[in-house]
Amino acid sequence: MKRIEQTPTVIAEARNLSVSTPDGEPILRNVSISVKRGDRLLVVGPSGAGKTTLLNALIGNVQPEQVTSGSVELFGQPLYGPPTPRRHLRMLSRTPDGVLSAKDRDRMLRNHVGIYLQRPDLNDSWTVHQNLEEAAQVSDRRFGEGLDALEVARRLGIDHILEHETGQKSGGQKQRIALGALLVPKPELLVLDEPTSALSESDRHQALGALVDVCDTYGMTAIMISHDDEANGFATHTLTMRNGMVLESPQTQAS
Amino acid sequence: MEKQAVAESSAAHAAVHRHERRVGTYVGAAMLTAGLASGAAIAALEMSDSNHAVTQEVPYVPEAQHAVNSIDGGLADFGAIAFPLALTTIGAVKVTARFNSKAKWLDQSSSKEPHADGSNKGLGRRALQATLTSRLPAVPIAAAMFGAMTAGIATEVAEGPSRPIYALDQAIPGKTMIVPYADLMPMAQGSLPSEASNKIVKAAAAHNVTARPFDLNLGVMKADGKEPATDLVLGMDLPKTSPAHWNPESDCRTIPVIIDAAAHVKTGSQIELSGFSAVVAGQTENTSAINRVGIIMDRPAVQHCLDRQELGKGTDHAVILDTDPATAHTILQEAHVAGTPAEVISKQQYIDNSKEFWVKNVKPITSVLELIAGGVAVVALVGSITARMERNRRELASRMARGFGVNLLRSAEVLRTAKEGVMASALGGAAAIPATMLVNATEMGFRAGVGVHELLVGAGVAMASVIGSLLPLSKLRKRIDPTRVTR
Repeated sequence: MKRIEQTPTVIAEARNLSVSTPDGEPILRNVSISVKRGDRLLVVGPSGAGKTTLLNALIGNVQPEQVTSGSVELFGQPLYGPPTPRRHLRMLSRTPDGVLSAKDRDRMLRNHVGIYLQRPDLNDSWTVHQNLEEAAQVSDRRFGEGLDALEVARRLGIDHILEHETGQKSGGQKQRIALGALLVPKPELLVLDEPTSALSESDRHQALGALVDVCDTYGMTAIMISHDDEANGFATHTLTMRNGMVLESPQTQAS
Repeated sequence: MEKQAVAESSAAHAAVHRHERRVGTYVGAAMLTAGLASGAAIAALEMSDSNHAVTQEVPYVPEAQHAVNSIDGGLADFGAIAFPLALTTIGAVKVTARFNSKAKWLDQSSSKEPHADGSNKGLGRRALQATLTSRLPAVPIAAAMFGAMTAGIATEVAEGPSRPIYALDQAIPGKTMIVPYADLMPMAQGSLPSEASNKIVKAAAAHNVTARPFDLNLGVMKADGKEPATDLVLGMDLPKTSPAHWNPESDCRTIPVIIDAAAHVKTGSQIELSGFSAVVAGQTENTSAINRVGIIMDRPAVQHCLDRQELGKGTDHAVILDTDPATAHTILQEAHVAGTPAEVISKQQYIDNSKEFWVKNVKPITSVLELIAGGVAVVALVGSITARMERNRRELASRMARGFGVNLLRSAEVLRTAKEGVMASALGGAAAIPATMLVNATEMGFRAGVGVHELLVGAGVAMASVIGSLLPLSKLRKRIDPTRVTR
């Protein structure tokens, strides 16, 4: 396995990034952000502001032809646009355009990033326990490098349903299962697009508390989109977007 | 200004609606007319009792027949490789899953698809979902069953007509035959003059070789309370002790015969054979072919009664000799039957002539049916796997976006199809046994069965169809683009 040998200080970075729809309609306009190790960045803004597109661009989940200008780097590896001379990591394989190959990007994502894209996307016919371990199973990391699934389930309040069939669970429970599944492999970066949208107030409080706790304990970095006011307590920085532009640069939250 | 724009927009909408209504009326009127016209045409055709079919005579291509007839052999060979390979692969993944987490994920993912739509209380609902989610691969099971059953029918069609020959082989031992022409078989008429047969018998005796002439007669048998059935009468010289020994003095009024048990006619029953009265004097087994009741009769009775020939001056089908072909050639030369067409062949060649006739006659059709079974299964499965990908579109896209890798997702689908193939081969093969029995019940003397070859053909059809169904996976990333589906 190719390993990221030296984790950089800057985990994810977009510079002057512009992204359009396949029809050419601008979604992001000249966006620049930098997420450092240990940051918990909250991205807020109205619907259609470009938050989800920004998150997707940071993990390479945007068609290259939609990126009209700028660049994105994840763990120092170029996903879009020209690479910068600054390098913290050993070079992985590249495409002729100079960006990371799909194979190495996939490897980097499954081994180092936990991703939640607006919906839980679980295996409904599996048990909760099986779902919690799925991401850890496909990662190339050694057994025992991740977190204990039972411990994660306890923190999220789903330890009593571990052997239940996931498809029978409520939307809120599924969302907590999906969050747990992200945490079990102990990723270095969490990318969360509205991970608490289906949770009740108390469940949201518990889930966000567990996320903060785990991130603090294991030094995880996180980028989260949320419309919940309570999510402010989760973040160390907040980024406000509107009409595809960054209105306010990341503001450090008062602790 | 604004009012004018609103008015223009309303007028445009109204025009579009008027156009849609007009087109709908025209299409409806055209369909109404076509429906009435086609109904009238069908009624006219029914009344005229005519059956016009589009058909075209095309030249016979032996190579095409050979290629088609080799299909079941190819499928059996493929099944013999693919089935154990699939089983071994599944087993290896399951064993590896104990200590390798990716193998564990592959095993789990290939057993249950991600998408499920809630609880299923009813049996019918559960069965439907099990079929839809490939826990019960209905299409491959049906394909395997149809493949095995068709192979069983093909085997019976090729081998079944030879059963009377094997019975003949037991009744008249000997590996060599003297026949009027080398391509002789039961379905072709043989006419070796009895005078020539008798000379051969005498010449053989000089070499201490037993030569036994025999005759065949194809006719129709009628028994009380039963449908008329076609029969194959084996006429051989029976000893006086045989219950079917014929006394020429009794003439052809009640010919004693031994009948195959497959006809279900009791001993002592009166029957009618090609217009002649006969009595069942005994029972035998394994002489009936497809739709042919095997009947053993004294040779002179066949010649005199059924063939309506003068006693001692009839014709025989062939002569069987218990010697090698070289000695048989010598015997034929010494018999001085010049002018009478006669050739020496092995009994095996006689059997092969029969097999070849039936293989050419029916097997291309059964082979094409096997091919169709596989083809239909592939098409149905491509649809099924495409539907499965559509059902799990979001789940697959999400995993791609999370870096699971297309090859890993493909591997899970390949393993899932291997599991389906193995299950289909086993269940389809098992289902083919009663299905084939049902086919046997539809035709007298038909004895199709399911053996190793047939099971392997079934496995070949199932495995080929599930492998064919992997086609949509080749364009997985194009079909499911995570950048669009996860939005």
